[in-house]
Amino acid sequence: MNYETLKMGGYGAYVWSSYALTLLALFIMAFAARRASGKELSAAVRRVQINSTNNASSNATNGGTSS
Amino acid sequence: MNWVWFHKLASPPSAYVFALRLRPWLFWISVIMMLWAAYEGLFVVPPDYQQKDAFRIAYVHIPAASLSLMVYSMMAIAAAIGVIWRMKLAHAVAAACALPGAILTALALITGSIWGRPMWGAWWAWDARLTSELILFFLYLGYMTLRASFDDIGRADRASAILAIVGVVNVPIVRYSVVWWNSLHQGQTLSVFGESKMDSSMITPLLVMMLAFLMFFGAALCDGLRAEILRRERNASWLTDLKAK
Amino acid sequence: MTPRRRRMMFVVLILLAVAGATMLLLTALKQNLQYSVVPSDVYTGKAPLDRVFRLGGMVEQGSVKREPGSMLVQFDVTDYSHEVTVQYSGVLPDLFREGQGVVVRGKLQPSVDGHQLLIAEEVLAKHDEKYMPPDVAAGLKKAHDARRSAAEAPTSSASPSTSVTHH
Repeated sequence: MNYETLKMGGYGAYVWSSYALTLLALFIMAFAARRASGKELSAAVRRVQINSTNNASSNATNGGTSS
Repeated sequence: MNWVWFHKLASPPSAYVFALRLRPWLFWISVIMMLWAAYEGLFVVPPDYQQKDAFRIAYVHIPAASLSLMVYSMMAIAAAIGVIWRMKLAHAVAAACALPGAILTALALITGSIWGRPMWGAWWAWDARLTSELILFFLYLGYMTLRASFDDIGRADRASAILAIVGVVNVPIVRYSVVWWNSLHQGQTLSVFGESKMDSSMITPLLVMMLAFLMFFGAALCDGLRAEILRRERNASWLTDLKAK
Repeated sequence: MTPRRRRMMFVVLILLAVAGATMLLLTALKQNLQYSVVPSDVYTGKAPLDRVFRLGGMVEQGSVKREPGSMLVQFDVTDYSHEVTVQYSGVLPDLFREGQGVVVRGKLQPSVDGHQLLIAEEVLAKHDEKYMPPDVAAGLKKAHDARRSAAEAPTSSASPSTSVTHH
């Protein structure tokens, strides 16, 4: 790929910044969703662990309700 | 009509597992398609007869802009289903649409601005298309802010659903702004029923990029939806079962 | 079923109310929502005389005149029925050329013999929604010119506005 191609006939700054910002936006989109699900999952795992230890100590049945 | 599959999928645990399994497929296929389309759009496709190489911005601008509208429509429909059928999963879908939609709208506005500067001679113009797309961005922001202002997730769902439904009026305004008013923005290039106004040598990467954007959004939606499901199913027993696996 | 029906009606009514209100608002503001007016509006008195506004149209073929040694440029903006002469001093956008759509922002000068002159503060170039490679565009233009000369051959007095497709 030579320098002339990258210059895009003088519009290189506009074209490349558009594509770079697109990459950034897509990265943020994927990352934000991934982090949200990861955070909720680890919180849920912690709750389940606490519940199971509670249940084990009190010998109670599963207190969770599904709706 | 057998709706068993629907009810099964619409139950939070099935939707959770479905989203978990679907995501990598959507993500990786969309990444491959995007790389191909970006390469074609940047280096292979011939320059436009008027705009020369600056028109290559269309390959990221048009997918972002069209998807920003599609995502809002989806969010509003999901919110309406959530309100009418009291369906938690639909509210979860609507909630998961907001952030990706806002990002896509911002991207459409920014790439449009970068495109407008060399072509029109202005970063911004208060014409109907640009202004209504900016309103779309504020609708997404308002939706997310409204959600965040409630502690109770059920109340957040219902209140924000009303905003999502009201705001859907803006979608046809964005879409037809270039037809209804004299604007600086050009008319619609792609057409579902008529003939598209882009030469056949240029259009394939654009269509592939649009599909790739849609699938990429789908992947983000899968992750976001899982987060929203977990948030709504705090004490559900199926989570214990899932953990055991 | 009744509560669900009620919620459905609620959603539909909200949508109808908001859509109706928006439609009324947009109809009432129709003029203000136009980004620009066309040259014909200037001659029918729809353009403001005392303040800056935006005028949109095509740069008339062969009308661009540049003042040597200065940034001053003069051209006619047409909607194929009326023209307004525009004077502008400054950098023109890359897409500015004859036959290209423009939107100019400026103020009308008192008309002389019914001829309208606008001093522009800003000139923006418009482009259409068509994208094609240069060779395809050249081919289209050739075909268009051939058709045009064939159509104009029998009646040489044909008005140029009839052969131009413009919306």
